[in-house]
Amino acid sequence: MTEYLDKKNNFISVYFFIGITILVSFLLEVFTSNLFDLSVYLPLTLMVLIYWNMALPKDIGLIWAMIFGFCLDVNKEILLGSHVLLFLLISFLTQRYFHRLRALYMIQQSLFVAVVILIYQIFLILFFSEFRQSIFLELILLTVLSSLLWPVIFGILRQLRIKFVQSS
Amino acid sequence: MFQNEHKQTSIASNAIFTTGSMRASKLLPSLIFTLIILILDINFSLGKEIKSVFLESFSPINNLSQSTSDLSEEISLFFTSQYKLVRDLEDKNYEIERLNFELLKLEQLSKENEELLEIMGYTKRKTISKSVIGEIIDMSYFPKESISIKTDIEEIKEEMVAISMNGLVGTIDQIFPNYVKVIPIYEKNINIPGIIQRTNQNIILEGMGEQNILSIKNFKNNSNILIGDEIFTSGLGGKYPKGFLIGKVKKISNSEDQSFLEVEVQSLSNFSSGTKILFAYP
Repeated sequence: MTEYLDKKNNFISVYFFIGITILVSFLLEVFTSNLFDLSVYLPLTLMVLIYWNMALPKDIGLIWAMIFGFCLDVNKEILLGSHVLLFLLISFLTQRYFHRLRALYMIQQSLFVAVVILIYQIFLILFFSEFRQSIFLELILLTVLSSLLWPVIFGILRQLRIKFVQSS
Repeated sequence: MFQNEHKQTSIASNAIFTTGSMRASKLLPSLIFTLIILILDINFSLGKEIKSVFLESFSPINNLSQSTSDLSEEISLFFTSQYKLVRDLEDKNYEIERLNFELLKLEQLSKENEELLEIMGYTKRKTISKSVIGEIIDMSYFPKESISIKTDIEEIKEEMVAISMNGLVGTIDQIFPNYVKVIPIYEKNINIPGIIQRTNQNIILEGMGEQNILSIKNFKNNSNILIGDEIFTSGLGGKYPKGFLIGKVKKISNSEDQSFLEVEVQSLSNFSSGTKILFAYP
C-alpha cells in the first residue's frame, strides 16, 4: 500500500522538473509579451512559480525565483533585481501561507492570484512603464485573464506533477 | 517492525501537513543579495553589460514572436484585403467629391476676383516709365499734410508718384510754378496695393494719418505675417509703380473682431528738407 514511499526521493529530478516548467512558462511569457504591443503582459512565470510554491514548497526554494527573475529583468531591459525582488516576496508569502492557500477553493485561489498579479503589475507599471491612457484597461483585462487562466495552469501542472514528480 | 517504523517516518516526512511554513530568516540572504545587485545596477549600471550579453540569447524568442506576429498579420490581411480595398475605394470616392467641391469653390472665387479687378480697374503694367528728380524743400501740416518738392515742373504730370531712396513717398496733389505738393503715403484715406515679399500675398495698405504709419486693411487672422516683413508696391491698379518699398511690419495685434489682425507698417521714407525725390510714372 505504501510502496510508493519506498522510492527514493529524487531531489535533483524534482528540482529540475520544476525548473523546466518555469523555463517553459518564461519562454511563453517572453513570446506572448513580444506578440502584442501592450504595457502589461501575462505573468505566466509568476503563476507557475506560485503553483510550485503552493504544491511543493519544500522542493522549490527561492533559487528558481531568483534565476527567472533575473532572466525577466534582462529580457525586459529593466533594473536588474526588480523582478527578483517581487518574485522573492511573492514566493515567500506563498510558502508562508501555503497551508491556507491549498485549502482554498479554486475560485478563491484564482482571486488570490488575481490580487497578487494586480499588485505585481502595478508595481512594474509605476516604476518601469511609460504611462499610456489604455494602461488601466490593459491592467484590468490582463488581471481578469490571469485569474481565468489560473485553473488551467493549476490543472496542467497538477497533472504533470502527479505523472512525473515522485517526490512529495 | 523496524522497517514499518521507518515507513511511518517516511510518510510523516513526506506528508504536506508536516511541512512547516517558510521563515523570514530564510528569505533574508536572497533579499539582501538582490538588493545589493539592485543598488549596484542603480549606481554603477552593472546590468547594462550583462543585459547586452544576455539579450543576444533571447533574440531567437523575440524573432519567433515577430515572425508569428507577421504571419498573423499576413493571414488577416489576406482575409481582410477585399474589405480593405472596398473601404479604401469609398474613402477615395469621398475624397474626390470633396476635392471637386473645393475646385468649384476656387473657380467661383477666381471669377469673383476677376470681376472685382474689372470693377476696380486694376491692371498690371509691364512698361518702364520715365522719371524726374526733385528735392524736398518744405513740409506743411495745414489744411492737410503735404510735402513741397522743388523740381523741373515741365516734366511733371499729375499721375506721377514720388519715390525716395527708402521707398514710396506719396502722390502728387498740386503742381505750382516752382514746386509740387505731394501727399505722403501715410495720409488718411490713401490706399496702396502692396505685396508681402516673403509670402507673395497681395494686400491693401491704408494711411493712418500718423507720420510714417500705415495699416493693412482686412488682414485675416490665419494669414502668414511676421514682424519685420517687408512690403512692396504690387503695381495693381496702375496708380503706383510695382516693386518699391512701402515699409516694414512694425506691430501685429488682434482686432476686436477676432477674425482679423491689426497690422501696423512703418514707412522708412525720410521727409526732411534736402532729401532727393524721384517722380515716376506708375
